[in-house]
Amino acid sequence: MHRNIATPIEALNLPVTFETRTGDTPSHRRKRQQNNPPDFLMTTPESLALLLSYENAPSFFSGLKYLIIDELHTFFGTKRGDLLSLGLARLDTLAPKAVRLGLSATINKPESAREWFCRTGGRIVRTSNYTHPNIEILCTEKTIPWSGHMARHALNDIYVAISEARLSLVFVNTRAQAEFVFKELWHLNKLNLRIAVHHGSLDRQLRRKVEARMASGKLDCVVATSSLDLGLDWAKVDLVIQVGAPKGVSRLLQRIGRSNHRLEEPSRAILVPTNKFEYLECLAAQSEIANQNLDGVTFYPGGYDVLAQHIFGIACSGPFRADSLFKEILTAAPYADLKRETFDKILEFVKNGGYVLKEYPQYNRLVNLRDGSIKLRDSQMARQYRMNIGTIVDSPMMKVKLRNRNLGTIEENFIVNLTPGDTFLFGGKILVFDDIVNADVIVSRSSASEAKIPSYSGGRLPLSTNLSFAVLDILENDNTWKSFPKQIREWLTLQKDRSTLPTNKNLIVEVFPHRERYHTVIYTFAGRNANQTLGFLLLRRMKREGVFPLGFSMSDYAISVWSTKPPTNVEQLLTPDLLLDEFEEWLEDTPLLKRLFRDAAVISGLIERNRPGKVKTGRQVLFSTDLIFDVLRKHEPDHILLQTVRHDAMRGLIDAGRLADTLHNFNGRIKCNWLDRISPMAVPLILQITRENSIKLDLADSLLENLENEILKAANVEPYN
Amino acid sequence: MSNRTIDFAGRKMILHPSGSIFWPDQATLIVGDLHFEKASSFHSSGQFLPPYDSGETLKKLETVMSEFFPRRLILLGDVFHDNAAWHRMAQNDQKHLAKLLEGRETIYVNGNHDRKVTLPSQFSGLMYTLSGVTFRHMMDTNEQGPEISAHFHPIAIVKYRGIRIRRACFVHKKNRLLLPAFGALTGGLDVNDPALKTFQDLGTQLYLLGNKAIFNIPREFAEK
Repeated sequence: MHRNIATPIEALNLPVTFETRTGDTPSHRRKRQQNNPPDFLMTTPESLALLLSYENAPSFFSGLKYLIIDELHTFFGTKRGDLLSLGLARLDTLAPKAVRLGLSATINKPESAREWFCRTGGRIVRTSNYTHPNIEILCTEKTIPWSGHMARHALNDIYVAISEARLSLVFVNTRAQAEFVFKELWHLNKLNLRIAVHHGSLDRQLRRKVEARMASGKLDCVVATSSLDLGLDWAKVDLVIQVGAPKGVSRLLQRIGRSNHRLEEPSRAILVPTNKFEYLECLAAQSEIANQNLDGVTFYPGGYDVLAQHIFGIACSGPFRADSLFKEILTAAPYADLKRETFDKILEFVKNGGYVLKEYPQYNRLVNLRDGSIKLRDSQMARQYRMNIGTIVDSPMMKVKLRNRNLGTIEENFIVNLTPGDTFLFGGKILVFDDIVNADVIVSRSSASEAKIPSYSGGRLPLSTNLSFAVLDILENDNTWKSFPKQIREWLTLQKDRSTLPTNKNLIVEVFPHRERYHTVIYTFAGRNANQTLGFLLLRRMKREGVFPLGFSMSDYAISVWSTKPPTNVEQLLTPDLLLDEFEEWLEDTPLLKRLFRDAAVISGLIERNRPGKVKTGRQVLFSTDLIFDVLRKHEPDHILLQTVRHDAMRGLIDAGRLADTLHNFNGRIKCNWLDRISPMAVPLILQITRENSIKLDLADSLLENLENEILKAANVEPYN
Repeated sequence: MSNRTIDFAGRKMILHPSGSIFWPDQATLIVGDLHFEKASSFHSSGQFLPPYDSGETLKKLETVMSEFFPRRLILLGDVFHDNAAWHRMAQNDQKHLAKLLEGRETIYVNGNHDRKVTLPSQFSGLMYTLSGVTFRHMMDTNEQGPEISAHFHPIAIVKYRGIRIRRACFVHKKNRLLLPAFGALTGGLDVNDPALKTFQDLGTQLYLLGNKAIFNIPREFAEK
């Protein structure tokens, strides 16, 4: 991006200064920018928040004339967007005359975007000459697999496609896919194409190097995750390959937009479905883009944790009054409906944790001045704010070191599952895990040809509502099937003969025996998060009904619950009151809340961020956020942080809204097929490896008991009673 | 609650799922690493952890004591998270603690976190001996006789049918017995950590704290 703007400025020899400022900007340049701001400053929401937290923020921003937000849509309904909106509200106070401009190529309703972005009015400008991107689905002679996401079957065809292009980007959905595809492409690389890999776990230096080589034409292909999605923009790319389902139309457009980035020329893309279901999803995306039917935007109330961070930042910039700060915050769209009472609670939280029953005033972060304003107790505390800014919380990461070289970072959760000697793919190399020394992962090179794949948790988005309806449309219009590859057509026809195809009109359920278990498969098309919630709730309900459920697996499209007995009445299982009867109880002990609490605790400033290389292991672990969560829930169940975690859960991981919509829509319209064996559409679900086995405390007890008895039995000793 | 009785150097000891030990012959309850006021110790660094851990730990202690009615209570060190913790403790928590200690012999073995704290107790020091068993906060690897200690907050991870289960545990090898941490907000150290290498050979038994029971797993079954 910097390059794209700097080039015309330099070419025209314009008398303007242009600089960037991000988390990577060296401190001497930051200092210079602070004292002598450039004409153009390109920055991030995090760095903006940082600039706003300095005491000189009012004078620094007083001359601001224009504020341009690129890729505006990426900020809707996200915590990063909440942070940005608060920054904008602040800027509005400091520079009320500044003009705001928002840019986006993938918004379906600009009017709703305007509401988010503009205080009053606001003009919508549309570009007229939109060129339809040229999107194909990869033609392959090979069999598209039933399940999996690694695209092994398509690698040869992908290689042919990239060898014919000038510069291609191969986008994948997860870091594990990136590693796999990158390595396999090199295996096939007879033409010695210059192929590189780019994902968020690689060391920053390595990523920069790839970006620079790409810009200077020294690469033929880059395999990348969303780490390369935004902010970079190259006209030289003439082909984008999307491996795996796009999950959303706007997201796909965003990626395709990388190629031939000139308005008058269509960009070219190839979609590579990694399994049969994804083929349908790719088809749906193709037709939605042709019809310019973009994903809807959902707006949510802003997170309290982000607001807490913002208030801390404001305090760092100098004394403030609660009344005027509250008014200012209401002008940020996600916080327009914030209640004063809630604001006061969050303010208390920033001050001292906001505990009703206990406080330690000597440690308060904020103090009230006699004139009624509030200020930071000790200006040294600003350091804590500045070290922990931002809304993106990675799971604890560890540095990967090959001799003394930094290769990047990897999730701690992945490493703890390895034993020394295990191999894994990282940056395209197969590495041997040797040891953990001073919280660093020590590795060496391996000559092995197979490796365990790093299973990073990130990058899994649920299927958008828009796209799921489009898939169902395809299934319903069997006259369109004739253009499909034979293997897909046969699969759908077989499903139609043996059972029923999923539809918009009814909720299709199948029950069949398979390997001494009964499977209940429900085709909700509600996205993986809503399906996961449904799975947990069904486990409870089926347990109560005495059919002994054992577990479930789910995808974006469907869920399968298996049990020792068949369910008696499927219609009864799926009534909308599922969300009332089982939900409250389940919500309180779902592990998902704890997972979210970890993030909220960091964002809100309750605890400090873990930094790569500073990860504490073993005895050094200072405290566990899970234990904090338990203690807090017991003593202050209405604490502001628990409230924000519940809100987050409902909209994200739990996706309660979408599940409720699905159950209500199909209430009384459930069609259950009792089959004598597995149906063609259920195969992918049953084959799927990632299954949810929810582990609860009492369950752990019974598992430990079994383990102990087995060990004793093996040792030929009577079990302990 | 389902306890587990073990033979420790010829003495009968009852392991309790709370992470405490009751020695019936001596009517003695042993707890370690309570870490009172751990949460509030972070407040000075601007990390306002919910300051309810002391109350939680006290409640747990009260429950165990009402099960065994010990005549003697051995507090095996790191009772307080730091030397100033007593002063930060809320008054009702202070009173609660005093009430629990009332009418019984209290043995306060100091730990590394609370070396300078004194409590109204019959004994206070770094080492205590009772009926041939030595009590220390941190084990002394030169000790030959039976020794019960705490300090390491041992935890073990076992894998069963593909599910990882992480639990605090007692560690027992011949003359040596380690207690898990008792406090509500205490982390853990994996039994495979080099700091616990004394226990990394065959013959070490782990007693994992379940929800309602204790489970005996040989050390070699703990995941590394």
